[in-house]
Amino acid sequence: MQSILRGGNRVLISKSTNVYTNLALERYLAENIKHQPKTRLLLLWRNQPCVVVGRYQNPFAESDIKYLAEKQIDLARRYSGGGTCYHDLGNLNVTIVTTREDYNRKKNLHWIVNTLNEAFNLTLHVTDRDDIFLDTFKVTGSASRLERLYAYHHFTLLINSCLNDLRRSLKSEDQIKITSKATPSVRSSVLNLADRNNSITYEKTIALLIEKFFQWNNEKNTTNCDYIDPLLYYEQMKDFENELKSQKFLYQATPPFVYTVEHEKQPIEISVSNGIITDIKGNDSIIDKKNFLGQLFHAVYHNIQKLNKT
Amino acid sequence: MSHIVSLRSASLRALRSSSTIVAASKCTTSPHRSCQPLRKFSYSILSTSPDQNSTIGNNKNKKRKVGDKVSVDEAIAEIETDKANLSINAPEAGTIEAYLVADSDNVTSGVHVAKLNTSADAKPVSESKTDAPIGKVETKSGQSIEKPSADPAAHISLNELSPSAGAIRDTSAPQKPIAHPIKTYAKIDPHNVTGTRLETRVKMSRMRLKISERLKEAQNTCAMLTTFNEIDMSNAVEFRKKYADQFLKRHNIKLGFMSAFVKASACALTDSPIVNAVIDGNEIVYRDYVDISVAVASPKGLVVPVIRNVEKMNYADIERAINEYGEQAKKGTLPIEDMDGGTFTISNGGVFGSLFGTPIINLPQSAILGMHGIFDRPVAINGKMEIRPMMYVALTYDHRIIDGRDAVLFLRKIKQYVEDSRTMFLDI
Repeated sequence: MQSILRGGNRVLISKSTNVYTNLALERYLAENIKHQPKTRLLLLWRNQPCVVVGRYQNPFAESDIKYLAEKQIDLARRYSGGGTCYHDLGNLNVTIVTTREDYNRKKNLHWIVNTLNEAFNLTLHVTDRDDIFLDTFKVTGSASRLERLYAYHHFTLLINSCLNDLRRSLKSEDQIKITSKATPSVRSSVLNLADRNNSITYEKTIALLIEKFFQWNNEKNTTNCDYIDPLLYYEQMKDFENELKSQKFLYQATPPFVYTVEHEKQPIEISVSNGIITDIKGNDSIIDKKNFLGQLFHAVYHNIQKLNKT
Repeated sequence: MSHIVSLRSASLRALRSSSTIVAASKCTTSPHRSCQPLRKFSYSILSTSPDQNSTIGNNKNKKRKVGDKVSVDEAIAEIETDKANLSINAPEAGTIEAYLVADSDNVTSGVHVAKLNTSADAKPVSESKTDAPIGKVETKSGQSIEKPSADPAAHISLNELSPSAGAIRDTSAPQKPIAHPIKTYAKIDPHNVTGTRLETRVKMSRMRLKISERLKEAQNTCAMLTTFNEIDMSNAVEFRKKYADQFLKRHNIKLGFMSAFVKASACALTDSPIVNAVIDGNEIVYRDYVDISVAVASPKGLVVPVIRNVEKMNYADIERAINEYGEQAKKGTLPIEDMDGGTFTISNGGVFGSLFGTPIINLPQSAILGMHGIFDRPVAINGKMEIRPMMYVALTYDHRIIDGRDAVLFLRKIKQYVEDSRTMFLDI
């Protein structure tokens, strides 16, 4: 059995649809595979409904936390930067991992655009911000992570995702209440590929990408494509997975921000740093500061919302 | 001497505060170079966006705090730009003295990020002491930093448009362009596993090359097999204890076990001449003398000097010869002739604590005896269990001329002669 960590031009498809597992798998493979120059690893994955925020984003500003909890939509923070996405089984995640020197986002995106345009008769194009648009609609968002020895570029591809859920999940009323230096998302109208060409399915897309991937890399050995069950590597990946699932990483890795609440027509500014409420400025007589100072913001979020009612 | 990794080698102040210079190029003609040895580092820092000249990234997150000790290549901060996160790694091991940018600050290429104290005693150094304006970790040779767009490090770090971003642009006249500065990492100690996922390549020494050649040759020519046995060392141990002092007094050398084994082997070899023979072409060459090569560890590696005509020697002669060779090996003065020839080899892995193992034949011989460690073991003797000091011995032989039967009987002979040395006189 060949080692899962061998280098070369390879395709791996994850059998898991758990966002934390897949993110951990992505990082595990990127960090541990012996990447060889001029070769690429293609990782294909998709998740059960979830919202994935970028490394330095503020989940409260990017999504409707309450709605996510109600509908049991997972919330995850990824290691790479960029904006927030909504994932579900109709949204294909593609990661291309290479050595640091071979990192080239534009090449990756152009390959996808050319492949899809040819096969499905579409008119996709790559924008300056490294997104893929179909006319005026966004179908792909990119993000990447560069380390000394490796770099990965991952992007989503809306095939036939539930756009209503997407819009509902990414709608945040807190956006205007939050001031921070966190990375803001640039919102765009989205569209599914299947909406333009209804013969496009997830299965067809991955089959196409796999075939064209080997061609793109001039790789004659087209058998280097495997399904990978991340459970088999649980031991190796569990640190990443636990970090990704932890409240600490999810909420406390948010860059410092100020959350403004209107209470009886008076603004109260709650400063949060590392997920902990460090300061509250406002009318002292109204609120009981003791309940909030030093607490984890996400833990008392519900109470803070109540303050806003009046 | 406190080593502050700092930028300006140009500045005299830096010289006075004896900072080490962080430089990546092989430039030797820059007038600003300090007299201290150039250290090569690679390391890319700050991000650029694909548009060449605007180089803004957010220094988003300090992974390590001031005062933290970092090892070489550990991530100390992260920069986010244009949806790409870039990690900044320490070019050398040291302690973070100070961060020069705050969390979430916007930075452009060429901006200093942190100050790293690389001296062994990492005491917190105050700003005033060093006088060096700012510490920067980057790949430059003593250049001023106000050239964002021409910053080679910056270009290399994130040139997303052209993957062949290895080439640096010449930013100063005497500087030689480097093809892949990213590949010159700080040197790591090859004998230390520090977990930074680096590799060091060390050229093989002549000796090592020779050894590997000979070993492969042996494997490729002989039909090698190993037979094992165990030796009850209680008699030998007792014997040695009883006569050690007397022996030392008379011969001035210590009585060890090697002499017992060497002599036993010699007797066994005279008994089984086929083990003492060797294949040459399609002939078997029998020899009527026994020269035993004894493997001796020298600082340069394993050497096997030969003790000649062991069949004529007694324990004292053998011990003397081994001793002499040991001394010479330590000094490195073993003459080449003494390493040549030999009809049989004995290798003692027991001194290192080995329990069991298969030695490899030393060409152009036909067999080798491997001795292992002596450990107390429960053994069955006459139906009763007793604890005896036992040693496993292994005989690797060339099956092309030595048959299994011969090899096993030969080894049993050695066992007999060591367990009861009197049998050597009885010729049984």
